[in-house]
Amino acid sequence: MKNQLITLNINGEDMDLVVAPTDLLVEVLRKKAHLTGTKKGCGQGDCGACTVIIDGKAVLSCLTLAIACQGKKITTIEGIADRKTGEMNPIQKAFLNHGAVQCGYCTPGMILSSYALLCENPHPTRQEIRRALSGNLCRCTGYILILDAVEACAAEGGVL
Amino acid sequence: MNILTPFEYYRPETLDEALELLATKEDYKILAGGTDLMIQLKEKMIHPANIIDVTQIPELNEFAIKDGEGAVIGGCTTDAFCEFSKELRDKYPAFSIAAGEIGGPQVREMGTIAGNLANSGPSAETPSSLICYDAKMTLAKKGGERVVDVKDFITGNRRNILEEGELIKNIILPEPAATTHVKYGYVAMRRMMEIDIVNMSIRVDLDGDTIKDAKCVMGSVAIRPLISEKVPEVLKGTKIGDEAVIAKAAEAAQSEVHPISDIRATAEYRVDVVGALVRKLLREIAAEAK
Repeated sequence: MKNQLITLNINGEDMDLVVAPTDLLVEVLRKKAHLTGTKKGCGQGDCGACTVIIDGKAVLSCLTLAIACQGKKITTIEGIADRKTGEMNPIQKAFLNHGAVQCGYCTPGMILSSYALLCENPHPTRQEIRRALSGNLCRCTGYILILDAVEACAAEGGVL
Repeated sequence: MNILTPFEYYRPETLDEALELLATKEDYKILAGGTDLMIQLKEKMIHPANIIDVTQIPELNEFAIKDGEGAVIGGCTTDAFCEFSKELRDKYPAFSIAAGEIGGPQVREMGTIAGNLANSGPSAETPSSLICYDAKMTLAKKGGERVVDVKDFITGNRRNILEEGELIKNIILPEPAATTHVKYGYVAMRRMMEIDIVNMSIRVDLDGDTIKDAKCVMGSVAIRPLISEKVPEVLKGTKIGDEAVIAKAAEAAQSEVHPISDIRATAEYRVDVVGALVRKLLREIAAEAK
């Protein structure tokens, strides 16, 4: 097993990275691309802390091989703010404005699952929001303020 | 930072290339989404020398559905696609609902139908409904393909009939008749992100309000999807919705299962749930048929 030089498109930029075939995307993002916004929680696909968006779909970077992501578009929590101005995305603002963040560990995953939902379904029902976030665990907030934030963001014009 | 035992990674772009790799590489595992495979690698349950990622192969991502002609679903079609496809939801609702009950949303965007079948876990969500719809599957290996019934595919706990060098190319769903009703149900500890205590699909073919034929397939009560022999016998020739018959059908199913006690439920509770699900699904079908 040799290390390989691969190119990953992360947040719109091509990055050349040396990886082993066994390297998980979450580790490569955090330790090689130095994008530590993506969190590692359970490592088993249960908690959603490691959620990133690949080709428009919210997926789990702890169950994804980095080498399998060549040719795909990866979006992390660092990639949804306005690239030029650095202004936060509306969904990030909504989380702040509604107090939907406590310890913050689940927040990047929560925001990316919400972002992916609102890209595909700009006007979700409360039930659709609950379902879309059912793969993201939060041990602090009780979820209500998170659901409120997503609902408000949709009502106020969405994420794009 | 590596916690996985080293392996070589291959990502064939065509079916021929994949079948060639499967024929020549020894000690491989197929990556078709990874939501089960990656966990088995992390838990050191398996130590393959080679990982063959088949998710990019066009034939495994085909999807065709036509009025009157059933559907063909490529093996690497994601669970989420099957959950959200309006066409699948309309024509094969029990299968679409079952696919939408796998893991959580992110798992369903990664996980594939072939993966759910090939992993062959006793609590897998999709086999029971596929069996009720009389689904078949195309298995491909270098030098040829074969078509088998989904009901014959899983043979035991994480065991199936896939041969060395063979992969699941697609799932073939025949066109259901307007008088065919299939329902899927399950009981679990939570509504989301759970592993089922029992899951079940029931199919009823009606002639007016008389049951012409029926199927009942249960998950999580045996080492493989359990196809009931007695439930169809009880139901055939009876009127849909007859509560006395429904009670008998539930007892018949309960007499056939031999579940285990585990972290999720006791065997005794599972037997109770089997009866409850048979009653629930038959009542749902009766309501739908009205």
